[in-house]
Amino acid sequence: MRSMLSIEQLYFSYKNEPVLEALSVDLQQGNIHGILGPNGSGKTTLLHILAGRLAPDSGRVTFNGELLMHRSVAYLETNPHFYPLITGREYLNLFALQNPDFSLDKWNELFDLPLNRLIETYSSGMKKKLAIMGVIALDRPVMLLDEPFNNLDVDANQLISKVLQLLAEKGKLVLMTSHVIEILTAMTHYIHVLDNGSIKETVPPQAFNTWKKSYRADEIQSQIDKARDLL
Amino acid sequence: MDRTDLYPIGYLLLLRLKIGIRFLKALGWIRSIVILMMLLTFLTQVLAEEHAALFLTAFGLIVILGIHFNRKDQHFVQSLGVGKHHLFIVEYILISFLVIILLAWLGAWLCVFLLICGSAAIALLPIFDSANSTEEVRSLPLFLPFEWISGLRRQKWMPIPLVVIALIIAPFYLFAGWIFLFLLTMTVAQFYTHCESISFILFQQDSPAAFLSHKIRQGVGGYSLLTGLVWIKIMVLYPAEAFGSLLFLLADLLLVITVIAGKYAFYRENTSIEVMNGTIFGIACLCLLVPYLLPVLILLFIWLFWRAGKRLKYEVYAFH
Repeated sequence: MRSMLSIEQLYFSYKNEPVLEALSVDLQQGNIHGILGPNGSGKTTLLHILAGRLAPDSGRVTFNGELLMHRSVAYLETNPHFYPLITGREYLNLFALQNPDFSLDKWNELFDLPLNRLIETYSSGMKKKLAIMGVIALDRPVMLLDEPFNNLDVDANQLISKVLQLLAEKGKLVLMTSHVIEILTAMTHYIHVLDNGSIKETVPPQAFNTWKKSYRADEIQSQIDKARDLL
Repeated sequence: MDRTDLYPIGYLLLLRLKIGIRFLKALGWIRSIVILMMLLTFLTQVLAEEHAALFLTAFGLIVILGIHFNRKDQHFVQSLGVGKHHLFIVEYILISFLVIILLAWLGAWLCVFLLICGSAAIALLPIFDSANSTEEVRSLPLFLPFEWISGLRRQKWMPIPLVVIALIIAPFYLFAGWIFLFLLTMTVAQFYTHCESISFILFQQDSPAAFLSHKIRQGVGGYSLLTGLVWIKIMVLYPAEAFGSLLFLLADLLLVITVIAGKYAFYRENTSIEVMNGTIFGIACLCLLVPYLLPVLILLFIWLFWRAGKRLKYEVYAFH
């Protein structure tokens, strides 16, 4: 039986402003799960809670029936943190200490980063690739990725998509957020739609195309009409 | 602390050492030696004072508090699986190691104990992350520079209670009033740690000189608004010390404009320059505390102003 990450009745609010309300979802290992929602819908908040950076007001998050520990989670933030004046290699060594089997140079043959240069000299896409390598190096069963494809070029997009698919096939539970439907429909096994603080629906792959056409169609059309009036 | 923490903590500390050496290399060896000599001069002056041990302990704890509340890597450290409190305790004790040695040399064992325990206690304090708040905030008047708007919010309006405390304490102790004014200067200096985008600079003024003058006028204006009442109160209450207070006011203003010039001397679009800002402020303070180094501060300001003009000319205004 495959392992499961279960989120039960999660509530979270920032100073009485509710963000997540009765959020419940089960995520199976070996799949890539997408969380889709508009800006400010609570996607990053959810990931922060799963990564142990925020404590929920109430609710439970379990992995294989036990409370999810942050040491089971590898988290890629939208804007990863880098210490100043360190090289890419030094950054990755921090992660590789947790996983001595990680072959930095072999992985870099895929990612092709100038690891002996200071990270300050990297472009935003290179920094993102470096951070993704770090998350892979941690080799944890649950991978949380917040907008992982931001700033990546076409080649990197394809590489990362493939690597994530392979990681899922190896048994990782990959949970990624995006506000771009096309990214999620292209590579996830399930899309969980976050709306008004909870998961409103889970879309299986066979329904992606029909669902995509109707997702927020009315709201988007209303915004297009407003923009037309303004211009 | 278990074995799984030891290696990453050790590696992080080694990285800190490498970062420090690279920073000194970037600063230049000559400047680094000059700063070291100034630090040594400052230390010898402090050690000659009556309450040197207490001053050093307080200084050490304030520096560590400043480092702790400005940290941005607490989540990153946690994501590595490292016990962040273990790391912070080790780091802070190592940072204050030189001061601990000095205190031990002075025989101030109680101060050694206070410094070590204080460092450990500071490491356990929570670091608040205000980035996640969705609370609506009242917009501030447009005449305030953006650095002040963002700085005041980042520091949770701490300057205001400092002004109030200074106004309350000043009638009782002149020196305490000066200390609070210095703390206000330090707080204002921290407003200038983030470099804005090029377009943000361009729409304000048409030339580097005009822009720098504008920013300095804004900074001096804001500083005067914030601290004016305290200065007036001190001058009125202690007329015999008016000249000293005036000199102290000028010194603080010089600190503020040095930091502003320093920000643009090392300007890089959309980056944080906290370390450089702190270094410049630290050097400027040393120059003020050691009397015969005051000309160095004036020279430093002139150099930073010249460099800021050059940097703005070639990096901002040249292509636009």
